[in-house]
Amino acid sequence: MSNRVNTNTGTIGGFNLKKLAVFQLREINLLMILLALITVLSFASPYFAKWSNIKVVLGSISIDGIVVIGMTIILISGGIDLSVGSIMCLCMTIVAKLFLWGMNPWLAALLAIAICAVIGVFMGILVTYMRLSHFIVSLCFMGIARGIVHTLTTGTPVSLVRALNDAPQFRYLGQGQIGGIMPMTVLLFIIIAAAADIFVRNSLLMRVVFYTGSNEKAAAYSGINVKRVKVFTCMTCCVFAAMAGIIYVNKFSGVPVTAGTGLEMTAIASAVIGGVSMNGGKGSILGAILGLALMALVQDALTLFNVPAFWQDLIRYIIVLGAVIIDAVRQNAAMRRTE
Amino acid sequence: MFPYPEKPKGNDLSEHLLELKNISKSFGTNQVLFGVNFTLDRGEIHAIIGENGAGKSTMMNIIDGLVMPDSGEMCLEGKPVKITSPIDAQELGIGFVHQEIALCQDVSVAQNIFMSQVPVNMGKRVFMDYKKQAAEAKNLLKKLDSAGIDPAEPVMNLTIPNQQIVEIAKALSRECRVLILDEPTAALTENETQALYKIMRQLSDQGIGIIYISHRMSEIFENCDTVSVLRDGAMISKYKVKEVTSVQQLVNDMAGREVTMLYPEKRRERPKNEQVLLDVKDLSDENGRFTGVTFKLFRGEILGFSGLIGSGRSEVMQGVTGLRRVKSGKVEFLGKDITGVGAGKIFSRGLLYMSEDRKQTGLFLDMGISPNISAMHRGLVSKKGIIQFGTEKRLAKKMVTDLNVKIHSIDLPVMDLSGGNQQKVFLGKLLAKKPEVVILDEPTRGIDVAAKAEIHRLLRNLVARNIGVIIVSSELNEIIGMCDRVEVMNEGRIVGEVEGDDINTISIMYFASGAFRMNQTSGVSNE
Repeated sequence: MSNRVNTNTGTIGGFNLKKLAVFQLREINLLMILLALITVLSFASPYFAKWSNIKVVLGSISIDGIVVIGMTIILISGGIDLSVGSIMCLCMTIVAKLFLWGMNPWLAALLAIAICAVIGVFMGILVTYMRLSHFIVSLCFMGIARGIVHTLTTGTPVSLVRALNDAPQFRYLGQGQIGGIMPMTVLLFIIIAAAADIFVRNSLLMRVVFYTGSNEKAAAYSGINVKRVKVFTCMTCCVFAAMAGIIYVNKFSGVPVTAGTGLEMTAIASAVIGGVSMNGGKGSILGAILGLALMALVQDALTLFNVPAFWQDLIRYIIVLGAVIIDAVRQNAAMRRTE
Repeated sequence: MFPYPEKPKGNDLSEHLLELKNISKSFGTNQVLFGVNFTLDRGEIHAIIGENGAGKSTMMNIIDGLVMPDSGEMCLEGKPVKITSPIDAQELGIGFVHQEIALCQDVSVAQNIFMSQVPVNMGKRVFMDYKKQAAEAKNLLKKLDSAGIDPAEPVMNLTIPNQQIVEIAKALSRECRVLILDEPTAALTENETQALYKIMRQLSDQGIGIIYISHRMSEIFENCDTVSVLRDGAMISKYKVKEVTSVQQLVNDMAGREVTMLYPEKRRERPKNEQVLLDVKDLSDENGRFTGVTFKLFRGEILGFSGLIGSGRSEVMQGVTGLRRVKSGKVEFLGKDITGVGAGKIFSRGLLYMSEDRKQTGLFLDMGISPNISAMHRGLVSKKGIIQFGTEKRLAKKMVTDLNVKIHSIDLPVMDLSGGNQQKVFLGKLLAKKPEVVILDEPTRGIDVAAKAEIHRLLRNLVARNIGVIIVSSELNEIIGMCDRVEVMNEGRIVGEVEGDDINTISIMYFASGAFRMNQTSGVSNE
């Protein structure tokens, strides 16, 4: 009897986004909030619009963004992974150690990603075949991976500055600047994110993930191997976290043993702001990345205005809450209009 | 404390118990109720019938306070009342038993019954008085002829019919004057339905007015005093059930046109050289839900599976299609052994299963029609792992036309469709590619007469295209009307087979009820 919201309406500055089918209401909302924030910040702070500042913001989005992609995929399947930060740090540690032992850095990177993938598969098996909850399994692995990092490093940061000097090609991945301006990490991220977004929208594999997240039982009754799908998403999430780790270790020429602490919260918050449903079955990479961009901009603003560090979390998460509320209000209004 | 109201005092007998005057309601631009008038008297059992989407739920939700009417007036015992929430409704003595059981499964019967009044009635002190609660629950269940239900038992341990009784007890736990029952028999078998009727009679004798919503015509004739027909948001007619001469009259009122209620014609005779499509031999599952099940399905026939709820019919079908693990036995499909093959592979070979519950195990409710239609035959809409959205949309549109699904837009999430249309989309999900065998579990549960007849005709046409169909149904009329051959199950075993003209209520119930055990020499053949 009621018609649910038509999610494809919205215009920005007279330009009809409806024609671009990739934009959903939630993404348009976010884009408008982002644009408003950027406008305000450019006027409010003389430093904001400088390329040096923008590069910093883009740089942080580029690494966290890769983690957000993996988180989005596992959230769409109806799961969650709290271990992404620790897995990222573990990957960094493995690469660093292997590298220092004299292994080819590219091979070390591949091996580290493979190890993280295996951990992901193992988590997936615990979730599906042992019927443990995503939450508990990944919470344990958050501690286990971090624990391995601590034992491997005995708690001290690993420096790769000298080693990376001998591998300039590998170093270019994290520290290179295209034409001396555009950081390589940003370009890499744009390529990965675009590919992931297209993959999530168009691939049959991801469609099956959407089915699983929307209604797991119905998916099983449609002949979908739900267990395999869930193992796949657990693995994918860990692989993306590991890829972020490769770029991170490169960019910072070493492993701070606290790298990735709290990253799972940023990733989940970004995805949810971006319209990814915690219940599964809904979401896009574009939305999640926009969500992350909002978080990063707020962080940047707090730094530019010299807000003391101990205030930042408080303000950041109040703004996250605000963004989610504004969106919910708009969604509800749209629903009422069409009902 | 006795939960029922006292018999009405003489002076207000002239008033109706519940009266709706000129109620209208719109959602946005979509008007769903047009000046509805309705009266319910004390002790009356008043059936409201109408197709899916006729406005029955909206009307009930208005009485229950879930939805506010735009205009019109509601009177309870002659006094105008304003009901703004289900809590208001309960305080005024209106109890609503919803179609879907909405109990807290882990919590005890007694606590479920008194859920709505924990703070009001039982919590005058800080701590709950569980003893008093249990005693009152016991009392209430006794009134419903169900003293066998232990108030301390967690609800999840009860059978579905008993859960239904707990729902009714919950509705009656406040001083109840008006009881709304929304399709209470959808999940019940014949005997349980009869038991429910008895309870309804008792309640009406105590002066409670009952509004009864059902899609099953026979129930209205057996059970109700009055019947009102709702169509497209307007009250079309009201009859005393005694004065209704034919079902056709009601059906035409509901549809606003002539509707053939007759089941489509069955096949004339069994062909000589039948090809076996499905050959199941001595199939048993791991936890004893079915044992030693043996049957064959031939090309071009509709095979029925009848039996009481819990007799293992659905489980057998899940075992056959690889959705449930089997312990022993063999399944052959088109001459090939498919025992132990995964469901995905079995489906792709053309042996399909449609589950009994479209909401839980059938549809992706928050998704649009296209992805729902293509969920089972994903290969049809993808090339090299990439979804072809154009192809997918065309397929969805074709199925929507073929199955006569009524929709505004193909992009709407299926949760916005009426039950009948949802069921058709569900069927479309299976039939997107021509199958060899379709197994349909309760294919017409909870949908209106017109949609039901449509689905029945569709199934007959399918069989005419030389495939095999199995129908699992709790509705005897459907089994009798549709099937060429019927296997009857009892306690996990196939206990009888009836065919052709032998298919009737008596022959099926003889096996289904287990009566054959008491009287093995009866006239019905046990093959």
